[in-house]
Amino acid sequence: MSGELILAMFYGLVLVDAGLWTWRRVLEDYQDDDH
Amino acid sequence: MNSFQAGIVVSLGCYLAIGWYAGKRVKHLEDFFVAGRNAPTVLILGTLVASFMSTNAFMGEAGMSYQGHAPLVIIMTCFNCLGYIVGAVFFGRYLRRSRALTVPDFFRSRFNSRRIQVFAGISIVAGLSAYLLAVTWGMALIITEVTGFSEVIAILMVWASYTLFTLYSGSRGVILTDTFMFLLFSSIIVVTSFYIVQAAGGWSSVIDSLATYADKPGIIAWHGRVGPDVYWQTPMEALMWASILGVAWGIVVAVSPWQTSRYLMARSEHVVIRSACGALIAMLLLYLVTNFAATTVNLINPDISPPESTMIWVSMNLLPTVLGAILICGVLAAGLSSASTFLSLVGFSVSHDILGSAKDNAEAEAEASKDQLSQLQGGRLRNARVAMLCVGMTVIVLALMLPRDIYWLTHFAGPLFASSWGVVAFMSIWSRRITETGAFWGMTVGFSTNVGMNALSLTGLAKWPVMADPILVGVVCSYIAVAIVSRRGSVTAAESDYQEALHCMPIAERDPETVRQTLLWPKVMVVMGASIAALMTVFYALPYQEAVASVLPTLAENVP
Repeated sequence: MSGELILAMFYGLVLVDAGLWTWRRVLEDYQDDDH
Repeated sequence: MNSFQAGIVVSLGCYLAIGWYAGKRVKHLEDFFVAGRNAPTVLILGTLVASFMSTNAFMGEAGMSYQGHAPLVIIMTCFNCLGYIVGAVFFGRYLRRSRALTVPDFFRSRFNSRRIQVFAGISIVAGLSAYLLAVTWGMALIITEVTGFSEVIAILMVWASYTLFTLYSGSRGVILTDTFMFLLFSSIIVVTSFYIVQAAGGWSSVIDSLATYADKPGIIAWHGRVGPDVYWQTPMEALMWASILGVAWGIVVAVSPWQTSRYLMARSEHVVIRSACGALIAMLLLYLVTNFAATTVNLINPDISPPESTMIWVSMNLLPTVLGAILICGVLAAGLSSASTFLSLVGFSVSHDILGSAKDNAEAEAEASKDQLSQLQGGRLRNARVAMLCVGMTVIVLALMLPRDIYWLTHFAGPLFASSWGVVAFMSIWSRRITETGAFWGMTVGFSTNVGMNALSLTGLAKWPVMADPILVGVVCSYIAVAIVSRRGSVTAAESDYQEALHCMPIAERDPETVRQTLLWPKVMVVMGASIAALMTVFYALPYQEAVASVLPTLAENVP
């Protein structure tokens, strides 16, 4: 796999991972009544 | 009056009009300092991005990309933009929950310490005044270059425009103008990129030409230009540099006052999280477009000097006159939005954190009747404006008198807060062991380490390796100071209670409909991220590989 392909994937995956993590965090913090 | 002069005058007039409109609604101190704590997502998002992206993004970093280092800027952006999410989730929403007027005011309440508030206030005055000077000179330079106005006139124009609306409208005006400016520079840079790519022969021709560009080999390879002619000798060295600086600036994004103070104006904690998600998306897209466009300019004119003026050259020589004038207004807007935020924060810190006493004010307000309260708040609002005017007058005197050294000031002022506040900010929320003395010395040691290392570097007495970047060393030293000093003391009951109270979730924040709306933003991030990865693969990585592969046989044939 070339460096350019890794850069392309990495740039998008930063957003994907940050989105998934934020999604989980919002659910944990604002929907869990036992928190 | 030519188109550029007219564009600049009209845009400055628009900002003043927006500031005047917003200023009419300023009745109380909370309106002036934190926009009534009622700002919606779009305004917080706009002010976050506009405050961060100054003229440096369209001049310094665009110039770096023109020279062949766009991929490094892109890698740095990946890391530093994550600071938005980390900052909002682990610090920003708790900062908002504290209902402080300024970030130093939060530190005072958290540690029950006036000296921490004053120290944090002084570091804002030192750091952001320096940054304000740099941005003022940067904008004056652009105006001088494109309009032919004298430097003094340009400095006065720039200063008057951001000072007048900030002075009258405070944060209410700043977030409105910031958002307007964010929309202006974002849209014009997209249009400009389209023109640049078309002028260079269309997308596939651009990728082919840049992939095999002989004058600057590797200009769009994943590591950009490396070798004996440039700062980075190998791809790994370039990657290390971009990653470490990206992380360091990520801490700046997460805790610096010109970013986190925006959250104090948010309508709710959900607005904090949504705007951070939006800022991450906007910054990733804007940096990608801006820096790729600046790289492509090489195919139209490879001899722009200095490289920092790439976008100015584009506006004056490539775009239709009207669009060129709008691009200049957009670049100026990026600078003005940062300048207005810096001026407002410095003014707030002088009037509230350094000269004012929140405790005395609170006691006086508690004992006052309704009329007295109104008079008291009116007086404090007047004092804040007078303080801001004094700061503004000082800045204009310094801007006219000091030698222009934009690079030095930006280099010093930008990251200062990461070293000084970074550790204390996060620990003030998450640590039960941090004491007032630990926090104070943590801030002091982080600040001194950063300033000391930068001073040694700038005077030529030391050259720090990338691994020992002053931002990161300052953060580590700050943590060590907090840990050592806090171990020798004990946390008071008041500090402990305040820290616990910060973790009590307000019931209003659990509204299911509001939570559902907030969850839309991470969804958009996932979809956008997947789309960006796919588009960059199809339109950049694969065509790049094909272009390079097609040249290799030719090269092999020519090798004797």
